Amino acid sequence: MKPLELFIQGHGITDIAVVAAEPGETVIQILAKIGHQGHSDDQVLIFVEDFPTPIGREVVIEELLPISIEDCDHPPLRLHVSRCHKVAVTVRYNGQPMERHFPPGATIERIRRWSCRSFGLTPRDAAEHVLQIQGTNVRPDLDVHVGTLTKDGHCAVAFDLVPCKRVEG
Amino acid sequence: MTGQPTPEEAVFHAHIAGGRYRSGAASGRWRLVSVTWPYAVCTVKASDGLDYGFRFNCTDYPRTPATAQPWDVERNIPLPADLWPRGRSRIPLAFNPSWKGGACLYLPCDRLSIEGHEGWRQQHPSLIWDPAIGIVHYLRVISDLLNSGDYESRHAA
Repeated sequence: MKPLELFIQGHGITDIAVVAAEPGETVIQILAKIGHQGHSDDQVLIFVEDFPTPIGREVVIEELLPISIEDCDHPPLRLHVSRCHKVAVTVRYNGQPMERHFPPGATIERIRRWSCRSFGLTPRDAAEHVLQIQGTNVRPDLDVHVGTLTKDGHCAVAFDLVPCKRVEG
Repeated sequence: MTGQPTPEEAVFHAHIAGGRYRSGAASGRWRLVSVTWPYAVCTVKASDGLDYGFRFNCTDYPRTPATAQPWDVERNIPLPADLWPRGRSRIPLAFNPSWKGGACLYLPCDRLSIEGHEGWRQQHPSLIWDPAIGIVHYLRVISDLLNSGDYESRHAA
């Protein structure tokens, strides 16, 4: 069986960790490979990207794949490690806030799409708006997990939904 | 002859080996085609499935921003102007074959275009070159444009 490429985000991980995993390895074994404290700390939860509930720590990687691991075309497996069960997300648009809880492994793109729908933007307008962390100039990339943006054990993140400006002048 | 990579090239390869780059590559957003230092050729996928080539000049990487020229990957020449991405508002400004003779993109993260545009640092802080992630940031900016609501495919061949 071929090794798989796993992408892991979360607390205690800078950048996005890329790990070569054997299909028969457990999630805990993968965390131990990258020296993440989650392999020995039961308070650390493990999520599959965009899924609402944590997975078991002894789950075998192969069981997380949607299709045969012999098929090279399957999307890469993406995991998230966090102490948050949920992240309270606030998005502000034209001064109006909208709130919802997301799993920490929810991507910025998923939250952006939800907020655009919630504020009633047309698909064309939605494609011209991005999320920016409130009080900063930071616009996280679409594949970033929202849980990586929480700080100091506070499971909440606030964004502004902002239009992409023309570069001119 | 294969020699030791320069420190600049080593940083470039470290960025390409990092999770941010590889995550985008695994999603099909971009792909590294070749490196002939200080040049690196990458493709970026647009919302209609077209792959656009770009040749990055990475001289003095990552301290100095790269500059990117639309590139015909098959023929290894600059991309003819009639094949550049087309759009309504932001795209024709960023992908403007008339700007500096088509040598670069009109973006704040581009080395040639930021010259003389110091105001962009305040107007577009999220688009300013970030040496911590270098080429990955520039690829993100291009990918975002080519997958935005402004993108309208390419000029007819």
